[in-house]
Amino acid sequence: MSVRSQDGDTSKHEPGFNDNGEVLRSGISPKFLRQHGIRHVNEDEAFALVDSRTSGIAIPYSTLTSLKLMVNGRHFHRLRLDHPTANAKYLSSKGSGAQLFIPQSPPFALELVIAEGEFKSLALAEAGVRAVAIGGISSAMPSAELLPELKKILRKYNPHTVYFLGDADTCLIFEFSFEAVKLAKTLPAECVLKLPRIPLSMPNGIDDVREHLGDRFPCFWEEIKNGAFEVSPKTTPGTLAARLLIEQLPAIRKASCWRDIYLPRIVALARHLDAITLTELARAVKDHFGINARDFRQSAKQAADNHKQDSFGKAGRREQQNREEEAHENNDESVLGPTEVILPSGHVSFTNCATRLFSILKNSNKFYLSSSVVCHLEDKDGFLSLDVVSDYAFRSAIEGFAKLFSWRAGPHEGSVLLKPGARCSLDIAKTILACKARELLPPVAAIHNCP
Amino acid sequence: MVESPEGGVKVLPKGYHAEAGGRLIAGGDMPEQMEIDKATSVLSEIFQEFDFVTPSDKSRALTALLSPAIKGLGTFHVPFPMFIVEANESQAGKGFLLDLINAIYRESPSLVTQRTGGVGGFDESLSQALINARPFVRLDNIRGNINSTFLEAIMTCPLGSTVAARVPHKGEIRVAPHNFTFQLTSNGLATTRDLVNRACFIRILKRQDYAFRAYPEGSILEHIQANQVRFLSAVYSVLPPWIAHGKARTSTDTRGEGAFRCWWQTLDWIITQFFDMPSPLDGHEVAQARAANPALVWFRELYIKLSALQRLEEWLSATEIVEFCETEELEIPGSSHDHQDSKGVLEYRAPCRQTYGNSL
Repeated sequence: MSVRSQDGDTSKHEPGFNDNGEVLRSGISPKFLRQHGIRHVNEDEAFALVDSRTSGIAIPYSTLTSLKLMVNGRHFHRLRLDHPTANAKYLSSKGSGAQLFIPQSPPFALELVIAEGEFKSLALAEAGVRAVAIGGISSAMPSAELLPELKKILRKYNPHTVYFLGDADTCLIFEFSFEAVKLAKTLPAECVLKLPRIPLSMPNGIDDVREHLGDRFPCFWEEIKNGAFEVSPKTTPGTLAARLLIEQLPAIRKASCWRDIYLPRIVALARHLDAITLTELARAVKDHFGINARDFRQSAKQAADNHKQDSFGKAGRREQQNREEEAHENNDESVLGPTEVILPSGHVSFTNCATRLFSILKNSNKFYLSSSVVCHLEDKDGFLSLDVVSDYAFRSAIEGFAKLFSWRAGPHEGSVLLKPGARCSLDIAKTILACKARELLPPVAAIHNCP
Repeated sequence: MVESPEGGVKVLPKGYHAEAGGRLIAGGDMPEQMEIDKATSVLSEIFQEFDFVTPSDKSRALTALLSPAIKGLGTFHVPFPMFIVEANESQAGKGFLLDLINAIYRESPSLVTQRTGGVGGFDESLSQALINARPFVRLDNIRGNINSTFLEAIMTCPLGSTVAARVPHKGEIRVAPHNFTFQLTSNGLATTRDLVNRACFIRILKRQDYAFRAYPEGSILEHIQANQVRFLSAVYSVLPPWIAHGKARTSTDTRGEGAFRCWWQTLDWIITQFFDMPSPLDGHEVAQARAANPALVWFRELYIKLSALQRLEEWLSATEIVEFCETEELEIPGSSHDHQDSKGVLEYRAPCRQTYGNSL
């Protein structure tokens, strides 16, 4: 059982076993776990399933029509490590990519929940809520497209509402809002995306909440479902992130450790916001914490600057080392985060790179298309204007919105490494600006300063 | 505010909207609907302290106020004229009048000025203004002949077409000029007949020793800025009744020029029906005719200068007038810069003959 204090501390029991050797998980009965084939595996079994000699809980995946999801000729499993590392809590076999976890019941209906993590979807499924799971916040659309099984479910069952359920602390994670907006834009027109929110005063994950509430869980679920935020495809990730956070500010203020634990996370989120949304958040922070709005805005800008510098600083170098090791091990792009882009190199074409880059830039609120030319938004004396992005300016401008990687020859013959901290050359900038993928950017004919 | 395909109007809130080729609303509060009588009363307040040459000039000022909102609907596909504000003296409030209009829309115009030296030219500034995508472009304090083929290309660009805006090192960008509202201030504009036919002239007189009304916020500009939503609400409240009348226009008045006739007739209907004011077309041809005739432009400036020096009652010979023009740096149309007196006299006769025919 998970215990979460008002101060945001979570002490979660490590995966355990009962006297019969069955897996025990918060908010899910051993029987239900057993029904789904979830079991503990030793190092040898783990190697056979995910190519890694480390013990853990094996989670077998199924499809809509088969009990076994086959990837690269093998039944796909994810492994919850008994001893998570700093880089990984779960593992899957090399090159198998992100997949959708589909609990066996209840039947599909007009409402579908997408949870982050298999155990959360199982907790909901056991409570009678139709849910599926993705491996992480950004795993629903790993290559700017919905997971194939998710696409099939949407096509076959036509749900009118999709609930994207994040943990309570996703109100402090910008990437959650980023992915939610992406998802809202991709869902069929007749399907709305809603975000049920677990209050920060509750346990962090929905499985822990179920464990915590017991019989009261169905009422709680109905309550957060009815109060869920509807995500308009037109909204921006920044606006959504600020909205989710502002709603939780009163709960955060009640925590005695808000200054040490939550405030740095609020500032970290704020660095992603545009000027207008940042001002709104700064005002709310002032109301709840008494922090001067200007100081808060400056901290957010400072955080953004530090983040950029970190890419080249000590932390950046450490991250680069980790990334290189990880990329070398996986040898694919599945390790890329939502704002990470591989420049044209290796098997990555100009078109692929431009498509991914403009998919990120289109949500930046900074880049727009004016008569087929890429322009960026500038603040001139307090009024927004467009200006053509020169190829020189584009090289550095994208660095504020995307982390750049490049494939390079590795130390061993024939090996390749995904190197972070790559620099966009003038030639690449020119070619990307000329790519048709630039049409992914929203076109702007006029900028108005009033409705 | 845009017109929906169903015929109603909707106000686009802050954010990006794909409507009408893509609109980015950077901020501002949402306006509210008000009764048409109240709306016209609020809007009439704006220009009440300007001294317009004729009541029709005030009507034309109102057309300049309403046109950006009508253009913003995105469904009224007719060419809009350039709004030219002229005054008899400097500091009469030409720019201020346009500032009031801009303030209602919470905008700051992209300023374009005539340049005779320095870096960049008039066309380059104008190109940059179009690229900036801010809805108001103001050609500020234009003197004499604009002499810009690019401006003519913009004003004569067929509806729905684009012009090539170019700025150094950034290549060419095709821009639809019909997304913009063009404004111009001048004390003596001389231009081609083509441009004049695409312009709406608003003439004001400088008020001597006049104290403008003070508002709690300060000047009328500060008053509008402080109550911008109220004024914007008034502008937006005029449009639904007009749309409800089937986007009515005065079909009986055929004075508007060519493609602009539809705009003139529409605004004529709105101004005369809702504001109960004279037709904006009344007397407009006089201002148009003068701007298209360099001799008349010169003669107007000469008159204004002589009037300012209280010498209108004096008899002046042609030579004296040429000398006066040289002293006041008033260029005589068709004259060279280093002309002899006698030659200047002859040259003076030429524009006068142009103005008055052989009767001089």
